[in-house]
Amino acid sequence: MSFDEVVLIIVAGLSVFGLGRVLIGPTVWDRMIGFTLFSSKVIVMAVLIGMIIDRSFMVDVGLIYGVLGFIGTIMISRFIERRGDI
Amino acid sequence: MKTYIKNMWKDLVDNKEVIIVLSIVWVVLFEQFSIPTFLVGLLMAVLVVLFTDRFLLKGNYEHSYMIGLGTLTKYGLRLLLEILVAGIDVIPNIITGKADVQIISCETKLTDELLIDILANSITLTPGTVTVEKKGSKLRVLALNAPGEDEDPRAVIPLKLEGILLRYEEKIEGKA
Amino acid sequence: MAQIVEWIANIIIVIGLIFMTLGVFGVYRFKDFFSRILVSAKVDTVGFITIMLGLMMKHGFDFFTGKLLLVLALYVITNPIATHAITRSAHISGYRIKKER
Repeated sequence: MSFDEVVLIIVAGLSVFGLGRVLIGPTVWDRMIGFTLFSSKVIVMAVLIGMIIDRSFMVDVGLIYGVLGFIGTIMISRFIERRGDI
Repeated sequence: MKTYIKNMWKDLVDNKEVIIVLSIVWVVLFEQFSIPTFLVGLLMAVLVVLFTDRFLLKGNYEHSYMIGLGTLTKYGLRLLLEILVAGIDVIPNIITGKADVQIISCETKLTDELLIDILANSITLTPGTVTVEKKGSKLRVLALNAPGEDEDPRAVIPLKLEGILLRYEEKIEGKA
Repeated sequence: MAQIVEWIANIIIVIGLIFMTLGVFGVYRFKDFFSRILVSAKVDTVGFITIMLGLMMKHGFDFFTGKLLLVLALYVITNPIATHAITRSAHISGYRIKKER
């Protein structure tokens, strides 16, 4: 088991804890914090998988996931800020 | 027709650094360096700059988007240092679990809109401070371990970063 | 020489993992929304930047490193905007704290 695989397993465990905040958060914004934490961990995991299997297309997956998570966060916060009117 | 082409050429010369950066991004995304790839990237960058100036921007923003590559590199390195130092500062608060959170109003010396936006994003990126609202050059900052009633509220702004931006602003004031 | 660079990169990645773990731990530690977003989410960003720098150092100079730099630049540009949007949405919707001046 190489060093990268150990790091990958630890980051995957942390992402599960990030999703726990989405489940138990008392307010809506706590759930959004949990979502941003999860999204950053997914980017790190994609890059690590790309380094382990030695292909570079996984980095593109991370790039696209970052853009989609950004758009999702912005749209949900705008939806809440304007009380249902985008 | 002639003035139109002259304006277009002036736009391209003003934004030459943006064009270089976009071409490098194109080459990196293709993962091979050859002459045709670089030429197609240059063409795409020119089209992007022309399209943005013509259709997406409402005013005349060219002079304020000319952030030089040297300034950008220096700013990025200084920002990395500030982020790491602030991150180490915040660790005792996490371990003890005590947080004293306040919202503070403060004012920057910058006047250009884009530079104020960059400064506000840098404040948000450093751990311990988050910008809540911006109106003109007044910022409302949510801060941890904030300065007291009798101290200067400008202590929440990273002053070295503001210094770099101030020097840059003087330079473009002289040019424009 | 390459061995030494790899060890230094591994140490940097471990430091980033410690930062990230502290961030996730802090999300469960605090009782209040503003202190959560102020401390934890931002420390998580520090961990992300540090891990990316360590991975770039480990892989050497290549097109792969350029792509990692692109991911890092995108994240550094978009993350403060997302945090600002969440905080502003909470502030406008009426989430208040006791002290304000």
